[in-house]
Amino acid sequence: MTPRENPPARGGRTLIEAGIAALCGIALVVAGPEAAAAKETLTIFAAGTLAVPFRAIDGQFERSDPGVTVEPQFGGSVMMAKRITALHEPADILAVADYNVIPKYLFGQDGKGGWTDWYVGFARNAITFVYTPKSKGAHDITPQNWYEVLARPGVEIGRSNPDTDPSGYQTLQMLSLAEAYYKVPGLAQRVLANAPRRNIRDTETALISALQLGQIDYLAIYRSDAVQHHLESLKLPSEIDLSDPARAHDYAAGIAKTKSSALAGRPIVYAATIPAGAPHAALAAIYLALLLGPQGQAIIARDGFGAMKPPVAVNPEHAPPAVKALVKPWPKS
Amino acid sequence: MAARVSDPPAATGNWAPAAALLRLVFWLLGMVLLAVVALPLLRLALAPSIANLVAAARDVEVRDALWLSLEGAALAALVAMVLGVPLAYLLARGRFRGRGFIAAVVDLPLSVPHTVSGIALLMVFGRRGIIGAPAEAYLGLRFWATLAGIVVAMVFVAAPYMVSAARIAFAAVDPRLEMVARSLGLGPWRVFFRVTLPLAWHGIATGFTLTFARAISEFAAVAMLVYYPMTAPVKIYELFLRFGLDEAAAAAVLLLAVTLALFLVFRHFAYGEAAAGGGR
Repeated sequence: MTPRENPPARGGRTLIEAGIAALCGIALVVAGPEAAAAKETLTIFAAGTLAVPFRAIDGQFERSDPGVTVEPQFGGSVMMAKRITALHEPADILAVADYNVIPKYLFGQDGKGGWTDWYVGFARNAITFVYTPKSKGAHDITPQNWYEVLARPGVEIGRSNPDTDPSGYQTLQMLSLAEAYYKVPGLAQRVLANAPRRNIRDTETALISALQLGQIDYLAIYRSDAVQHHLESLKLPSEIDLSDPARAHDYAAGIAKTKSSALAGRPIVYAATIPAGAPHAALAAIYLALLLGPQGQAIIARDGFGAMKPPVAVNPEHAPPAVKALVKPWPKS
Repeated sequence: MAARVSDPPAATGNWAPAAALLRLVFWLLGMVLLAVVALPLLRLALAPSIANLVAAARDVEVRDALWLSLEGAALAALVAMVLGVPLAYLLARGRFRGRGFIAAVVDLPLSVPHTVSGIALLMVFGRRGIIGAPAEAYLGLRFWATLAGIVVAMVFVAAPYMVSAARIAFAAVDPRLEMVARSLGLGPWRVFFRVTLPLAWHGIATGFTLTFARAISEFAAVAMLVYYPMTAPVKIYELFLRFGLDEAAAAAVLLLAVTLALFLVFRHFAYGEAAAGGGR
């Protein structure tokens, strides 16, 4: 113990000094990582399905430009869009699983008040069902009889919420297309009877653990997830699996009824844009160029997505030059 | 700096300024914390318009979700109390090997990420789980998308609060009071219910309140087992995805209002009991 020399008031003052020092210390610790980082940070809001390829592309981007840290955040596409438009969180890139999310949530009315006025399509995907060897009917399911196996009594099918998640309504659209393609009236209804509300989550990847633990037998999901999680999946015909942008017109016949509206099928094309107020818009354009170029497209294909040949854009004239150089206009459907 | 002088202990002198300063400093620090806690809640409470609040209150789905949350959290707090208070007593009074280990295990759910909790619960209570499979086969009891699943998930994440609060409350009861009661001829069951439990009641009631609060706020672990039927937190998340901030905030404010009202009732109840019968 140090001898007490201070009068009481001094003791109080040192207490305050200690308190201030402690608060400053806390402030330093809290602010530390930000303050210490002289690096630039590229913030990406992306659909959850993009986590694996984007992580790989992030790594390439950081190696080519060591002054940059890429910080991706993944979630439902609509959720990520609303974090920009409703919560005003700063993001340099928004990448969504359904290109329609961008015009719906980020385009303004008549060119005014929008968060962006262009987007690029950079990857394709397909709806499929995944299963495990333990799933009911797994031993005799084929790409021909799948809708009969899935409609058997006692089969539990998981799917995503069609009111909030693209893969939820895309599953309904695929089943609607299957009904016409296989000429089996009532197909969708019989399959969906085994996919009741209790097997619905806000995003289908939340159900992968339930599939692996045997709580559900089949899960409607993207082909990319099937590849990345090494799950058995059905090879559905491209007439119904929403994977082919050239079939856009045919897919529109697949209708999903949701709480808000009836949604017509569209090819599953992932789209990205740079929202207004992006803190690092120039870096974001370089990142998108990497994503659209041969390196990025190779990673996209490796992780179970379809590459875009070529990448396409809506209103490419508004995109940064580095992006514009790599895209063709979006085909009219 | 002055030379080292061994002052006499300052037994005399006017300490009033220092005491005032202490209170001032403590108030300042406390107000900072209070601001961090209260400002976001206050901002949230003011976010939705009256029209949005009315619309949310009239929405049957929102009301159902609120009611289901209240029901689930009340059941979870009751289950945690009935099963947790005896364990807390054993931990406070028992002198057995592994006591510290058991106490640590009970607290462990506090540090498990809630999505991980949900997966762990599914492993045990799911269709093929070691409890879920026999429960469905022999009792017809399912935890997937049922109230039972909501309660199990809530108990898992919230029970540590019950056990901790009750254990501290039991530890604060002087064992000599129990010994006196025993020496006066009361049996061990009556001593527990007539002496120990009333003395520890305040702490147990606090534990019940915390458990209820933690349970009603749980999202991830509940949503893993039970997305439909929707509890209030799941409903609020869905409203945000479907409509936006205003609708979600309105439902959140309703949940806050109901919870706050319940807290005030609980607190009144707990402190009233303490004032009447605590006497420590």
